[in-house]
Order: sequence, then C-alpha cells, then structure tokens
Amino acid sequence: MSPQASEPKDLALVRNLERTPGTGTRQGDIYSDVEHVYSVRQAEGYVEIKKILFPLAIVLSQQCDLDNSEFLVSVLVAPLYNLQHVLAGVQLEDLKLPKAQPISLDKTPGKYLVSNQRPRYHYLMFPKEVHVVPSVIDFRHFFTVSREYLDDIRPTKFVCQVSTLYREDISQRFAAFLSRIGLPDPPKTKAL
Amino acid sequence: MTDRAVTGGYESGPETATSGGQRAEDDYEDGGAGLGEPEIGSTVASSSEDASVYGFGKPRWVPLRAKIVSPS
Repeated sequence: MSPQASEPKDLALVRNLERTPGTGTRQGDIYSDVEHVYSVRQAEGYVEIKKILFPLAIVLSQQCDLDNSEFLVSVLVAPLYNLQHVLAGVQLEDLKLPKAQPISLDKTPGKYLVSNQRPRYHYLMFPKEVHVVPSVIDFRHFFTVSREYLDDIRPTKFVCQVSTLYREDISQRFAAFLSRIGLPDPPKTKAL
Repeated sequence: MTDRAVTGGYESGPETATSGGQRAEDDYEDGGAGLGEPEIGSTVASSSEDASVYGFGKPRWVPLRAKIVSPS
C-alpha cells in the first residue's frame, strides 16, 4: 500500500484501548516509568548499578506465553518514544548519546514512518482520553523485565492496553524486523 | 498523576545511538498529493512538558551505588 493511500492518523490510531490494569501482565500493556537494569558492577566493596528509566514501554511477549502458568524467566518489552523526539533525533539525548538523524515528515522517510512502512519503527496514536503523546516503537530497542517487576508497578504505572488487533500488528511487525536477513552489498562493478 | 518529565541525574552512556540501516533522509521531496503532517491533536509534544500527559519525557540514566555489607 502506498503512503498516499490512507491518512496516517487512521493507520496509527489505536482503537478500543483497555484502560483497566487487570490482574496480570498482558500482551500490549503499556506502563510508565519502566526501569531497565543496564549494568551491574562490583568494585572495592561497592556495587554500582546503572539503570535506564523509560517513560513508557509496551509488553511484546505473546499472551499465550504470559498465560502459561510455568515460570517465565522474563517479559519482553519495548520503549515508546515521543514521535516529536524521534523526528528531531533527540529521543536518546538524555542518555548522553549522539543525536540521531532527524526525520522530516515532508519527505519520504517521515511519511513512511507515520504510515508504518518503515520496518524498524511502529507509529502509534492514542485516543485523546488516554493522554499519551503520539509515540514510536523502535524495534531495535527492546529489553526484558521480570513479571514480578511488572506486577509490582502495575497499580501505579499501568497506562492502558493496546487492543488485540493492534497488538498483533505490533508483534507481527516486530517479528518480521527481527527475522530480517542482512545480505551483503553487491560487488561494485565499473560502469561500461 | 506524577510528573513524568525526566531531567538530570544521568551518567555518560557507553553506546552510541543506533541510526544505521536507514535510508538517506534527503531522498525525495514531496512532489505530489502526499499525506502532509499527521494530525496529532492536543497531545502533540512541545517544548513545554505537561505532567498530565504520558510520554513527554525521554529515557534517562539512573545510577545507583551501594556499599556491600557482609552478613554478620
């Protein structure tokens, strides 16, 4: 489908969001203030822990795995970045990381991003009653947390749950991105 | 609802931002009946952060340092 075929707001607007936290972690749950333990180092009688605090993150683990009563080592989650920060390339600037390439909505990369035709990104818009800014999942950025951790923060940090159709769309695109095969560039040939 | 704006308190990160694998940004100008800017309504991010809206902040480092005490 070409990006001209439909409006991006129609493609990306998440409908039928669930706003009650439920009793357990669910696929498509969005939480605020999710911590990722980046590193743990022990030196000279001290332990140093570096965590990244993500303003928003969505659960990507499959619902059937979450429903399984067996011990689940971890739950897969991905950060949600503010669309405007992604467009400006500054979504990671508070991590003291270099600014990313800005993306213009007036050019093809931006138009493809907001119409979910760039495999690396998934653009989400939320109904106004949910009060979440337009957001982007970067499928290169994902991490795991324990189910126990999500259970602990759910009462205060649960934001909403993306409905079934939209969460399956996210999962399918995430799986497709992870399973991509990088092929070497073709050898350069001299022009005749 | 708590203020979700996140500022300060970070340390240097060892990794660089991942932006590889993308196409060049200047590949095409919009020459036709394109989409234009998406209508992102009242929740569009701005320079001023709104504590009542989720997602205005950016990820930040949270360093912790704790002394190891041997159990007696």
